[in-house]
Amino acid sequence: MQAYSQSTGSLFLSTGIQDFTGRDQGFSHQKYSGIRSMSTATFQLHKPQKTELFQFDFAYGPLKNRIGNSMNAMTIGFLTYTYYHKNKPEVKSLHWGWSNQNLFNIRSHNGFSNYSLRYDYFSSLGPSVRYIMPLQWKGQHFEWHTLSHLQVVGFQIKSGYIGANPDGYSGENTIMGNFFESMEPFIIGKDWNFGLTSSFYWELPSENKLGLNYRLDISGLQGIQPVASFGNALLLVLKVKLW
Amino acid sequence: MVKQTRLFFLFLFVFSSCEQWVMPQDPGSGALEVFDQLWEDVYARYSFFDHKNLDWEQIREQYRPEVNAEMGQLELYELLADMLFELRDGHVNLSTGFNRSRNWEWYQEFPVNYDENLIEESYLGRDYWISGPLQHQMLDDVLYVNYRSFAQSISESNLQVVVERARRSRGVIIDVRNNGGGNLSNASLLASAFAEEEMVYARQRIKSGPGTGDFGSWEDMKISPREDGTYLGPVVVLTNRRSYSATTFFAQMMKVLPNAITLGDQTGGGGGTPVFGELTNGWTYRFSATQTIDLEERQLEDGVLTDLRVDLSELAASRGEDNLIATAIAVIRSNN
Repeated sequence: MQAYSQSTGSLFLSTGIQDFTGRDQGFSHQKYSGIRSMSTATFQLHKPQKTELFQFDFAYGPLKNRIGNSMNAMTIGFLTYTYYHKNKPEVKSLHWGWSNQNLFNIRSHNGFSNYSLRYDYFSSLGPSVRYIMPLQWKGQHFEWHTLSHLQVVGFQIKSGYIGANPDGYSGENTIMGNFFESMEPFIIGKDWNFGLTSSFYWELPSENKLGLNYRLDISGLQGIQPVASFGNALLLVLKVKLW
Repeated sequence: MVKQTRLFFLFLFVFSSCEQWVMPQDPGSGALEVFDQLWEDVYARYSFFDHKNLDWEQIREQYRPEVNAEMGQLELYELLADMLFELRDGHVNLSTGFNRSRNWEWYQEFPVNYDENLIEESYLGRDYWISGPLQHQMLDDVLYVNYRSFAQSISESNLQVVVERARRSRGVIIDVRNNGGGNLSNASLLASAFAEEEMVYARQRIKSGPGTGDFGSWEDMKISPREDGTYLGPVVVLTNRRSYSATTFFAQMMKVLPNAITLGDQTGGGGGTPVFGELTNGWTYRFSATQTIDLEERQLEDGVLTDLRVDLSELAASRGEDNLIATAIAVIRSNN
């Protein structure tokens, strides 16, 4: 029997593939799609009345449009979740909380000699919810976790109308000066970021867990050159109990 | 369990269906749609409408009625190529796989002022040095350097050879006639070998919105002295109308140096850095998206004027002499 007054720490390591589609109107009005490799590492800190997750994401791969032009697209993300719950054993339960998304996307177009690099970054806050359902079947323990987040407010920095540097960026200014000059608000309705992760775990005799994870990520940043992306990923997950 | 699973899949279905909403389908690839894509992108991002006094909306009125759904790829290409020709810009191309449109009027209507055979026979000879893309020969006490394309990269060691030979001479002639440009970093590297201190040589601004006058602020363009050594003696840069794009920038860099002059005919221009685009039928294109001005606010798109205006003399050429090189040598010797 676990002592629920104590905190527990776990590490989730996952790797797999992501079916990704993106459109950056600074490059083209055409969609670019492809299968990218994706990996995530998540640290979960479970306390009696609060659970925090710190998730680092990485995805990279080539994308093509329907006429065969290509680009390489990389995503680096840092996402945190905080859920509030009662101090009781993990039973079927719904937890509410909030999340902080930090997402950086960089794209390099292989067919353009100039202005072939573009990027976007945003940091935002929004509500999050997760549902946990433990299961037993033939003496084996399973668990189904689903969590989602919707970003509401934050800020964004995007490549400019033509070039990689954001409009407002100047080589003459300080780093902080450029940062504030280039920054725009992220506001739900105009901009979007939604994520859903659903995982099915099988508990191993060592108390670690092996799982399969489906992930959906949707983003859209408006502005003078809108950017949008849509990704479906399937990942193999290993959950390691640290303490 | 069943209820939760149903709810989950319903939820998933709803959000998975959002792809069409988040990312609508690509535009169509019919002739009219392709025409509109190209016209609209040029209208939104081309940088010289005001400078060239071009009415792009009037050009649309002129060409769009000729587009029809039945027209073949070749007909559509020719129509779009004609429309782009109106921009009078060497940095504008439409690439289709079967042809590449261009406007080369920036040099075709002017004297050539360069004879490659004459250079090889009378100046480079048989024992000239080849240091990467730089071909150089001592003409008595003056070093003659010929650089045919800034697309060919110079290494530091290539440049070091030239600098060391220059130090043993009374002056340097850099011949960039017929050099159609390439990579601006090669131009900056070559110019850095002749600069004594950091200097602003031009200012550039980039399109920042769809209006014909929407630009970011002017940003200084600078050259800095090369760290591994420079040559600060007299330098003459030879240009002609086929010196274009990065070569125009190079001429402007050298023009601001106190120890350098330009000689020959003005450069062809190409002061706008091209941005690229693609059409839904698979064709790609490029056009200028920036403006660059010299220190007197003259557009580099119109070419860099020479300090000494000299045309190649047919009479001199018939004697086996390039009178631009002869004048450059005389200028260098008069400085010593």
